[in-house]
Amino acid sequence: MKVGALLSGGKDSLYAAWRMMQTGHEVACFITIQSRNPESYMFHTPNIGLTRLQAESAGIPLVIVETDGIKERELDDLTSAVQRCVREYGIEGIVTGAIQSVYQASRIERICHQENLWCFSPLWLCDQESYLHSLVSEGFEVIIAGVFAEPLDETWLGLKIDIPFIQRMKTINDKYHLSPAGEGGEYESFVCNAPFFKRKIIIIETKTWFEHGAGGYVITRAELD
Amino acid sequence: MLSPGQNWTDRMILIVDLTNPEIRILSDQFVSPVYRIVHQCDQETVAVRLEQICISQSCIGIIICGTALADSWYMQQQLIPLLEGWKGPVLGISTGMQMLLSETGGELQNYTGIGMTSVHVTDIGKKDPLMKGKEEFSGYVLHRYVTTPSPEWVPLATSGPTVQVAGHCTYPWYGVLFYPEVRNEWMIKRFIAFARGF
Repeated sequence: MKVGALLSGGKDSLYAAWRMMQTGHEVACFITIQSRNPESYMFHTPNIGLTRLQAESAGIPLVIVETDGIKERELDDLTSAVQRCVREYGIEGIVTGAIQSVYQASRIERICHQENLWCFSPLWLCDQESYLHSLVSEGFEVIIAGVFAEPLDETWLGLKIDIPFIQRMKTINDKYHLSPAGEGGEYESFVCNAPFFKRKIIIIETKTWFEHGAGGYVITRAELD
Repeated sequence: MLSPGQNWTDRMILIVDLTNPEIRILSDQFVSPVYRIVHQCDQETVAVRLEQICISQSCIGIIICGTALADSWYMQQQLIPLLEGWKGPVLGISTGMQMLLSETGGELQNYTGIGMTSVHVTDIGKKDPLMKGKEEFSGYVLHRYVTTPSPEWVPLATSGPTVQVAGHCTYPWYGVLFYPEVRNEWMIKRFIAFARGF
């Protein structure tokens, strides 16, 4: 089946797309919704402007749609993007990286239902620690692009998700009950390399910020290896 | 009851996967989460495809999982003949509920539900082992149809006119329209406890 994968630049959207490929489906296009509203529940992630490098590296066309990010109205923009993907790439389904977010999952399910499309969320309610281990063992190179919950501070920004990271998250989870995969918005990630990338993304310049318990690792310059 | 020399792990919960066999990835979304909850309860379990149901003597209960909104493969299948002779506990989730109820005389109606919905436990439900102590809660629904149950079933919980949980009048069979694995794991855990004690 040809599917379109929602792409935020983070680990969940790219791993979900990878699972679809692994099970014999074709990711015919990526869809990125670029929100001008930093408070958007649905679409705002740090470094979303760099999904074009990820798509280029994967050799998969990218459809980018800008939205004002006004709650619920941004879903109309997503619907338009999905309709365009149906017309241009003949997709029959949408893939999301939703893990626990009922808010996100149900809104995308509604759009898919309305457009007669399949909706796939292969990470839905997955064991988050096992998932992080799969990311590492399957060759994903992921860095922390934003932190939004205590005790995650500026020292976490730019860290690579590897075995020591998973162990640290596990310890923190035991004490603070944070979602190990950051599904509660505790942290955001950015994927520099994936098993289906032809070239790795090299980060050349970054700008970090941290205030009032939240921080970002903004990639200001990057290119394909 | 346990036989001498038997322990809980000798007795297993059968999880039935009724997703489209040509789209294997659906099992990740609709079967694996239920499997994990059952497994976390230290309960031996095995997941099988609908067309491969084989109820062994060690089975203490059956959970029939749901599937994607766009999936209609299950509608060409029959569940009740595969359960023939089984009088033990069954929990049919969403499309699993739909198959149980519609194949026992219930009436299927087009009615799409997506997202969280408020669930109210009926007076009969409040006395049932599965629902006891619950009055009102939210459940995650994802369905294209609802089923008006036949008189063989009694509503244990509702959302307006929609039956969210139904119990069979004769057998220890339950149907639940919302997905209990999403924010209502307690229901699957209670079902396991119920199956262990049955």
